[in-house]
Amino acid sequence: MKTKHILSIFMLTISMLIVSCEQVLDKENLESINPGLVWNDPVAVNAFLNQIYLAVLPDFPHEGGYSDEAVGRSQLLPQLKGTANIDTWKNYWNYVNIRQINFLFENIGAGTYENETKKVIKGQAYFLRAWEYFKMVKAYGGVPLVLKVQNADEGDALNIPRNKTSECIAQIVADLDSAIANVPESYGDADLGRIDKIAAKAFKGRVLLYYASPQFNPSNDAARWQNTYKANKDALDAALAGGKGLYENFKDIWYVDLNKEWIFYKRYKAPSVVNDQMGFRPAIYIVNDFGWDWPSLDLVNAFPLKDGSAYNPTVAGYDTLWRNRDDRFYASIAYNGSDFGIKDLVDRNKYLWTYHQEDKPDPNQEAMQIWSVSSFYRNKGIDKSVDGGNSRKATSPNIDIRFAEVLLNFGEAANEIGKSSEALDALYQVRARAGILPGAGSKYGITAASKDDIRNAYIKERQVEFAFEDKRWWDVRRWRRFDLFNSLVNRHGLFITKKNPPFPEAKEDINLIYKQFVSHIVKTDGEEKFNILDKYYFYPLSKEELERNPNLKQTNGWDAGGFDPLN
Amino acid sequence: MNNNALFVLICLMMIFSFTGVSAQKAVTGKVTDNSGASLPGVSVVVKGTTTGTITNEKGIFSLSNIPENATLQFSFVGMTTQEILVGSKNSFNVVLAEQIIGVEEVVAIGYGSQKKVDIIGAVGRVKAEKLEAIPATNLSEALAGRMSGVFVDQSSGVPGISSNLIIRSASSWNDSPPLYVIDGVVLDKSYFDRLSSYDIEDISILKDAASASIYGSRATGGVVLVTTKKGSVGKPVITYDVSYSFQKPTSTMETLTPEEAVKFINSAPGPDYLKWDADEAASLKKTGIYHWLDYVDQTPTTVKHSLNVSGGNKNVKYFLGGNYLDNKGFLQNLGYKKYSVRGNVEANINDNLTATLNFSTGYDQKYQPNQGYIYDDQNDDLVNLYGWLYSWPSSFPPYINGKPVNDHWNGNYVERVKNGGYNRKSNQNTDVLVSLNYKIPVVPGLSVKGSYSLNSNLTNQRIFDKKTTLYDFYRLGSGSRIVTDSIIGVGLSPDPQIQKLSNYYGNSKSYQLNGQINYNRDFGQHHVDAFAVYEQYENTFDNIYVNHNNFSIVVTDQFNATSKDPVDQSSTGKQYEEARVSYVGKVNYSYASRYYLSASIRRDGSTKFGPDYRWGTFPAIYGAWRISDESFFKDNITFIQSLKLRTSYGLTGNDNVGGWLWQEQYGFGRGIYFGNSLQPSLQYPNIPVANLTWEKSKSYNYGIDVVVLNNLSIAAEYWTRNTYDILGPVEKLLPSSFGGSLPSSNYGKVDSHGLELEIGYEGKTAIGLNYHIRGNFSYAINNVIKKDYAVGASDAYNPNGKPTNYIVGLVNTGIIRTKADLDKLPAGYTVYGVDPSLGSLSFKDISGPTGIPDGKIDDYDKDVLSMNGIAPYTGGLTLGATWKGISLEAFFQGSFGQKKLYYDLQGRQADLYDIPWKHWKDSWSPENINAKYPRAYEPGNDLSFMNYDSDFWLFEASYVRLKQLSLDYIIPQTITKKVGINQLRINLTGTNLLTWSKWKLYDPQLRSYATYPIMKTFTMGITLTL
Repeated sequence: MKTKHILSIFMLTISMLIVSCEQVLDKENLESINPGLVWNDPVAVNAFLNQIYLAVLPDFPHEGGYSDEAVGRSQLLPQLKGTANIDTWKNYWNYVNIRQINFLFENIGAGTYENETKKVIKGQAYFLRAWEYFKMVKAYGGVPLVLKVQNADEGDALNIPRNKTSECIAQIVADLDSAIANVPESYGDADLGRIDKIAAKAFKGRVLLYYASPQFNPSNDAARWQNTYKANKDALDAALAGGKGLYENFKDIWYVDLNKEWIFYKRYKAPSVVNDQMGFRPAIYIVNDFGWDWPSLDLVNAFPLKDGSAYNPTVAGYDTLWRNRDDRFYASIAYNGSDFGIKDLVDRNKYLWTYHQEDKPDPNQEAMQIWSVSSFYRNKGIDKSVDGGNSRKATSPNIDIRFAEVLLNFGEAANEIGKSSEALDALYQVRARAGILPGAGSKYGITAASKDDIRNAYIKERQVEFAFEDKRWWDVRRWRRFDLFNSLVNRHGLFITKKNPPFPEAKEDINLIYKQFVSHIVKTDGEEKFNILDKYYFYPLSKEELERNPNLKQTNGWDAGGFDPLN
Repeated sequence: MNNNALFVLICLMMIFSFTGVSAQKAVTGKVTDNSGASLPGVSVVVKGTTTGTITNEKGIFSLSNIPENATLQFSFVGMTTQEILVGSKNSFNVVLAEQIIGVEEVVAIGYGSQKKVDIIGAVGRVKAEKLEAIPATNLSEALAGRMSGVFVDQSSGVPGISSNLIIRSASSWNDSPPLYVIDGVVLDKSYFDRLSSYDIEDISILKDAASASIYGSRATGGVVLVTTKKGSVGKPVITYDVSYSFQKPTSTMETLTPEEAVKFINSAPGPDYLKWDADEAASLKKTGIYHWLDYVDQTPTTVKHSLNVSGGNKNVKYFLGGNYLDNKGFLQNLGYKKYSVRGNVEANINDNLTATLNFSTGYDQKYQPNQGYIYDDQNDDLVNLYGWLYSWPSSFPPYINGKPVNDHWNGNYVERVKNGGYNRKSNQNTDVLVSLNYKIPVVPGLSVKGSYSLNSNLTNQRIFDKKTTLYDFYRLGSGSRIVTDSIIGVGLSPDPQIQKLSNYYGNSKSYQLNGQINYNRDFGQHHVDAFAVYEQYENTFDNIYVNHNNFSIVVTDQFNATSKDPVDQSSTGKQYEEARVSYVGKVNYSYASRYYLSASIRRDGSTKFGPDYRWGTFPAIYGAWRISDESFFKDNITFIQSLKLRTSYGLTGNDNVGGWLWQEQYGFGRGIYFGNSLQPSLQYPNIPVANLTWEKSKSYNYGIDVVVLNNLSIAAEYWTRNTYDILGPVEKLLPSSFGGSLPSSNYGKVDSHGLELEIGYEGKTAIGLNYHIRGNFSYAINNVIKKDYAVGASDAYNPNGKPTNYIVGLVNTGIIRTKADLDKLPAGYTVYGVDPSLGSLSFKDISGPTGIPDGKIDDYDKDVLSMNGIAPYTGGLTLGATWKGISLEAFFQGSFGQKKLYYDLQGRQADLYDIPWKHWKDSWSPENINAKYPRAYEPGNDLSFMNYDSDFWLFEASYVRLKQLSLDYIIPQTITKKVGINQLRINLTGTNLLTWSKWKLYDPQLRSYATYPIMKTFTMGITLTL
């Protein structure tokens, strides 16, 4: 080849390269959608709202160990034994979702689609913002109220001090009122599960119930109870008008989809939208999990008998533990010899045997592996259709607000403003649904008459009605009744042993063989004792938060405190 | 060896083994070294042709048909090449001088090469033969300690896992990895690690910014330049290497003896179910402790084969090589395999045009037992699985009468490793580089070069999760610790929770296109060379992941066998693309090899940054002065043969940030279940940073190179680096009520500086023993100048004024040994809310929420425990000697001044569920109040504060190790020639043979004891040259 040709080919190639080069840098992001497309498309805006739902909706709870309801393999938490520090509750402080809700409010106006669609989306967003703030306020009292999207370059203006608790509650109520005004009474089939008016009203009732309760209202300001009564009455009326009510079969509330008890809830669908229920199962069926929500004997004892009277463990022996209790007992507690019904046992054609053996090898060796510190398992609401291997893909719903709560919130407020008959009637309804017999005078075993007694009846009723529904700790705190825990001193369980063969057949009737077992009461947390301090009625701000924002004041009662959550 | 590869090689060898001959008269001669000893094997070539021969065992050569105007070239490894004009002589006595270290070597630098004498930047170099003997499975590891300023962090010994390489010091809290350039093509580290050491000619490391700056926006971390082997003119040389290694962990931890363990556990406070009863204790004493790891471990071995042929003639030079490596790991079903083939061919198309083709393809596979759900099967370093097996000393064996014991909870991890499925990750890469170099005849010294490189890499990962069949046995004892041999049940293991088969395919394809104009000419004493480069790079990547849960009938690793239910099947995929465009220019000028001045500039554009911020310019300038060539110096100072002073300044960048951060991104999220369907969700967008750009480093380098007393060479460098625009989150400056994951922005500053020293000495004794000593030493430290922290944070949490790797924790005030110690504590003294008790640790009260000590120990009492989380001082020392074909070399490597926190899988506490580690023997109890370790306590107990990071667990991690000891023996050619072998070399190498450290519990280089251990390796290798 001639030199000249080679040279010219070279030069040509190089010059072509240099001309074309800048285009090489025009690349597209193949991993996300163009921001310009989002806010003008109602489907995309709804998808953005859905993400907020995903982040905000509470998941299936397993918080029994945070109170006297249940025990786990680990011992008492610091917040129960008095060793909590300012970082113990740092996780309640979270503004990520709040920023995104504010971001939605700022951007939604830009879209050119119908205002009605926007209204419904905004209404739901108001509810979700109220939900997020209430989560913080019930923990800490007042927190900084951020209602717009802040820019990082705003300097010290970003260091917002804590708003008064009253201001926060007012904002939450205002947001809920906006939600009530904007969301529909109900949704079409495709959108069931979104926040409707009933859910918003019910949540407003809950918020006001907290605000009127002794935690926030130690001086017992009657006006707050009036407000609470009104809001809950409104919620109750709306729920009844919307076809809600107590679902007849207590146990099935969690298994019949969208039954009338459900008001605010999260549903799951395998394989992608699931919750983790591994720890509810005996260790033999699961992997490397410590176990959650093993019912404490203290909770087990709290369930009334079918005739409405209290179960008295000092008189009743072990053999009566599972006899003649109300429906909620069987729905909530799995005990030695009970038909637990989880897939692992069903597949093996077995009842649950939670005894320990002594001395002799046990042909039914498995019993020993089915071992709970208290010898009970949680039964309520768990997804029995999955086996241990799939138990991280459970799909039973979390019903965060159900009709019974609206009813009892209403009744509790009624009692505080002197409407004791309405208060008692609410209790009767709940008890009747639990299968308790009306008895003489149709009092369902309730003997309380005075305001104080009825309040105590509510405390007891909520303990068993809402067991394992992540209500107990917050209720007791709301009532300023940490003494209920501290006076227990320890959490308890049973230790059941069987000395000699024969060992029970897989499906033997416990009522026929109970005499072969011996049980004694054990302290499930060793020597550790309840010692919940009064200052835990309002949580402290974490070290990191205080360091980041110099304008924040610590909650009174904690070191270097300066913020009064009761204002 | 892979038979196909071998076959291809042999065919190719035959095709290329031709030589051209022409000429006139016969010449003969003898080659000796300067002691007069004859030199066999010296290559004698007629310059500019392929005519040539090698000297025989007496150093004699003869050639026929040689023209009188020809020049003979004599070359031999380690000797200075000599050229002699044939002229009228027919007989030659040639004396080859030994090469003075480094003088005539040519070193690759960015976009070209330079004679070592002319190098004016800080460039380190490793020759191939130094690497070949190292049994490392990846090249990074093989570089450890080889040169100053290069740090290799070999933190795991898992086959196929590469080591981190840091050049000089971390200049930012972000990762700024070195850039890897292989034959001029910028590739990522995995390519580098996959290269076979037998294919490499040499490796240059551009340490200073001025040298690295030619690679611009990604060069802050330094540049590793690799040149692969080329053929040279002469008869084909066939080399076959084989080596076999076996390994042993450098350290193992021991447990308490049965009696000690029972006594210890029973003395700890805690629930009864943790206590051993008398029967259990007696049984353990009788059987001893079963170490489950022993049932799955195996002696790790590595086998390497390499066959290559190189040679060439006037027109074509070639190198062809094939490699095979098989590394079996420390556990059964664990290992790494690698095959590769390379062909580098250079052809002179005419006098001015040269074409080269470098082709390489390879396949490698890492295979591991499946680690299962708990132990995250994506975790390549096996830290959890290995740690678990390691920390599972048990009272019963994993198998009874050959049947795997169901240990519930975790199933049986021994059986899991053997039969529980696998995790296999493989790469298949194909790399082609073609280039044309054209010397433009009309302008002397001017040439143009164009090259195109295509690199594709297919990644495949297959995970097979299989449940194992386990047996339940009768158990006795209150804790069921006595397992009898009678079977009472059989079932599938709970772990993995779900049996599945999944497959991941990743496809990365990139090209790099270069156009380069070079000018290189001498004008009398003036030398000028310059080049300009245009470089363009594009990369596309896409992957797909398919997962099928459950199996229809048979559990086997076929997709065909998996469940057909759509609920069990899922798949995901993603893709991205990126591009870069660069313009590079450089001018070198020197006068009389005495004064040097160079300047370079690079302009880079990258898709990682927004359109207005994507271009950056990176200049560098450097100069040097060889004083020793000045007459005033030469005439007066004779003991210094060479003295060169150098200095440089350069600006480099680091673009190691994810793409698209300058733009709001909405990803698609998980659906939410409303009504009867999953409704889509859009993930929250990031907060975009429109002006995101490169991190930049300004660096200065001052160097001196000296050769004294003929054989002692010293090179010293001092460098400083000022990195700014470091990308960092500014999150902590804002309260979290801001509510966003804040964008990172370019605001941080880190200064770093260091010293490097390399010394080499070569000598020879009267009996013909050659010896050499080479040492290198580095000091490097960085200092954060500007980094975000919470305004109210205590000094320990203020990163400014501290190195990037400092360690924070509580300051212990010892074990509370007696009642008197306890009483001495102030009233109300608690540690994280807990009252301390006898035998627990106590800590220093440094501060509190109001800034003054408050009598309570919590996070306010954390202090800086050590400024040196990584070693500021490192060094290497090589001692070697050669005598009549026998060479012995010892290489020591050390790092000094760093502290580490002790970690183990039992969480720094005695594991009462299992058998605790041996050191817990000396733990506090009322009978042993002067113990070294605090008291035992049950898991979950409040006393867990004792495990928090504190100086009680801090140890001095300095170490020196005999990194390599190797013995080479070349069988005398008088023997090997008889069987037609040119050279036969036998090599014995040991690595990591000895380690000296104050820290005894585990290898101080490991992150924790649970990590797969670093190995001692013993290797035997044979190199055969035909």
